[in-house]
Amino acid sequence: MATFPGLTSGAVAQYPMPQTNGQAVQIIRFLDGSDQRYFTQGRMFRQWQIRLDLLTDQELEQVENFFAMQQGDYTSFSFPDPISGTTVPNCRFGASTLLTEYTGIDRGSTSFWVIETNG
Amino acid sequence: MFLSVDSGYSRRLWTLSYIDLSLPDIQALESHFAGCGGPLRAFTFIDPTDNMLLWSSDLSQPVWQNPSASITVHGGAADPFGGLNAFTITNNGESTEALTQTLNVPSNFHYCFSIYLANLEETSATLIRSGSSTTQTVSGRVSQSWARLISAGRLNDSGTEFAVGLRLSPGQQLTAFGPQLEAQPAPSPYRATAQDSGVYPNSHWAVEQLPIAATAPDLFSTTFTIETTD
Repeated sequence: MATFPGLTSGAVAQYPMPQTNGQAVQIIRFLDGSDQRYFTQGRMFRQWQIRLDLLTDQELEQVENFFAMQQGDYTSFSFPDPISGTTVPNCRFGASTLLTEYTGIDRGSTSFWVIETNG
Repeated sequence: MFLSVDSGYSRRLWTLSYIDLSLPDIQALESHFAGCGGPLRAFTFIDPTDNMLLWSSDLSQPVWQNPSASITVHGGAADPFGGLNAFTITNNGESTEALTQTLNVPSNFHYCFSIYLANLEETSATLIRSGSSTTQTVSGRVSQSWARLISAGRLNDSGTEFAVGLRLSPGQQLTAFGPQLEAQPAPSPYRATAQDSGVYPNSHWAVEQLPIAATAPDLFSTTFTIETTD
């Protein structure tokens, strides 16, 4: 399984970095205010929004190449979670398209979600 | 805070925002979210803007306990805000007695109990904070002028009950108004309560995903919603 590439600094993300953690729950509400709740997902999954600014052309190309290598959101990869310090397997890009912006020489930017999946 | 009410029950939603949290703070929130299974399991939510005590406006209600029944409570006394909403509390017994209220909340949170007290003659009054196995008392002077006595701190007690109240010596009489309990170090302005208080035992996370943003090294922010139903 491929591993998400780091920038030239070694980091995989920049501040601010939003992330979410959760598990889908179905809630059926009754007229008297009570409810019935159950999981519709086997376990909790994490998601990270990776916003990268002021990238060199080489760094931006590296992200583009990795996205192409994974065939967008088709193939899973390992993501080194910078918050927990653990490498999370079975992650995918959150969308089938990747937008990269070349705003100047060695001043590129991109933003995308990485999502944890069952594999 | 948003409040929506349906016929027969009420549903309250709190949107809570935090900035500049440390890693242990954010891990505590994540741990609680995971422990609840997100919105699946209920937990007790303490409204940080409200008084945790029931019937703070009526000390004669049964929720205020005096097991020996030797304490009498009479309303209609002049209160510190110009009304007639204070209560005269008298211990008619021959031993020290307490008028207390017990809540089903953790004993070891940091709580602040406050109450306005006055008496025609200068005397002392004792406030009680009790967990399942530990009790702390604070005594203060009471005179003709209204004074807000405060008892705050954290008990070294892993119990799931917490009681606060007023201890009176034999024959002692006090005029009391505005008891308030808050899960914070110091008191905020008094809020009168009746049959509803700021403790909600049937609360759920109202979000399936807990959003967290790392904004700087060891600094995090988050915003989420909690819902309670009666």
